[in-house]
Amino acid sequence: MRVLSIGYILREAWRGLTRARISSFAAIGIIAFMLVLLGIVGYIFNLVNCTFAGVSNQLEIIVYLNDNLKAEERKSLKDNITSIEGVKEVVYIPKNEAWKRFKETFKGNKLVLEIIGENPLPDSFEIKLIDRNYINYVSEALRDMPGIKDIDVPLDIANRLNSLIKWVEIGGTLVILVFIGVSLFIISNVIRLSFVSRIRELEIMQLVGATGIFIRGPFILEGVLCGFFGGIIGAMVFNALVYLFNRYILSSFPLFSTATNFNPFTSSLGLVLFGMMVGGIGSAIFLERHLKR
Amino acid sequence: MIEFRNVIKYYGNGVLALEDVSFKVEKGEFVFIVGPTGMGKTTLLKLIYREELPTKGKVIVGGVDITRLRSYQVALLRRRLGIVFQDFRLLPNRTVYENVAFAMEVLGYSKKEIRNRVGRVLDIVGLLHKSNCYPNELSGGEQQRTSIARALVNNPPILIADEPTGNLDIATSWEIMEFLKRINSRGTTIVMATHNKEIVNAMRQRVIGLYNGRIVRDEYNGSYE
Repeated sequence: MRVLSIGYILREAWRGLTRARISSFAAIGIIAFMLVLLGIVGYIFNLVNCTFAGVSNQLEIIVYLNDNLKAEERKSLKDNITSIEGVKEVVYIPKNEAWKRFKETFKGNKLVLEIIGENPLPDSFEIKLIDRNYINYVSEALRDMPGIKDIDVPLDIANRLNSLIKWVEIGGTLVILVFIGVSLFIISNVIRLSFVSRIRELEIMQLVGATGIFIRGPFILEGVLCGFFGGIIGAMVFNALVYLFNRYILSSFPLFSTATNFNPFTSSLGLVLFGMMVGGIGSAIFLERHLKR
Repeated sequence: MIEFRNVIKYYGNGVLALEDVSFKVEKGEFVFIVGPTGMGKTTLLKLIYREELPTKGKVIVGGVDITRLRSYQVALLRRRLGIVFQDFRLLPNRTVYENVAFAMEVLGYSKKEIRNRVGRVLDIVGLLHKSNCYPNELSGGEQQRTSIARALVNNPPILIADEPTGNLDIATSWEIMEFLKRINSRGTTIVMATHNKEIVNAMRQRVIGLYNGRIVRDEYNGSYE
């Protein structure tokens, strides 16, 4: 009985999908289209998020050292700083190097260089962090270390970036949620409409005394299959668009070229699974409305 | 086999469809439900196959009060009923064979059993040679014979027919009645709603007359009027 009913459900679902070709194709096409849109929204969200995160993770703390620090004192200070949790890298910038950079920056502005005259810059460390959230912790830890003259923490920028990132996250999540809701609504209705011509089938099933899985199984599976095929097509189109976008557009905007954590495999899988889920939900809604109790 | 006990049926819009209807149908009987359109014939049949529930009273089929069934029990009830409609209700995108087989597939029968039984029942209704035709390639009479084949394929002890000849010409109607008589003579209980005078008068079976939702007569060996 069990094997029989699985065979029956598969056969009927496939028959439903292939017999009413036009409505099945329409449903699959619309599902694919909605999933491509959903993918694009997700991708943009991811890109913006990663860009902000990338920028903010490039923030550095600069530590200016006392003038008379000996080499071994400097080395042990560097070791101490490196051992603070959240510190990724500590780079020593000798005063000459700093002065060279300064002169490079103000190359066109002779007046500034004339006024300053001799190199006033101290030796320093540039401290790179694992991520921006460590900025407060690390600057606190630096405060009491001996041999440090001054600390330059880009706290203001960090805070602004933090709140910006927070808002982007909240806004993006909201947009995605709304979009998921909209595609859920549209896809489930498309499935439902593609089944309308089959209300009679449902009626006859009930009249001859079919039960539960024999009625629901083929319809649910057909909806899931629609979502599956729509998902496959949608994922293919989406990945092609992402490829073209990365190749021809993103490359001309270096700001965005920081590595995103976009993964074509997981996002395709997500789209296909989402399509299948929504297809199944659409079928379930159809059955709920038209099955008499 | 079938019993109505003081059945009252109001529809949601307040229309009274049946008023204090009581009768019994024994196993193997052939019963006509007659009366003009809108007098409650279809409602009465729908109460038998639990498409509708009575507002009051009891409907007993095969010894079970079917007003209290759960949905899976309704399915079990319907497996013991064959139902035939005026508009045939065939699936247009399935062949004659598939339409009849469908009634067995949804109950989980094996392919082999389906092949045997569908072949046999199509032979009985004389449509074996049209197995691969689609409903739109059939005459009205052939479509109704297909729907009767579908109703009979699961060997139900009761056949419910709602104006089965309503869409057919006289000659074809007689053909259908001949089938139903034959089926009845093999022990199947038949309840048939109709307003076809000639048929009722010629068949000389039990006749229950409905008027404004009430039983106005119940005669064995009866006629239409």
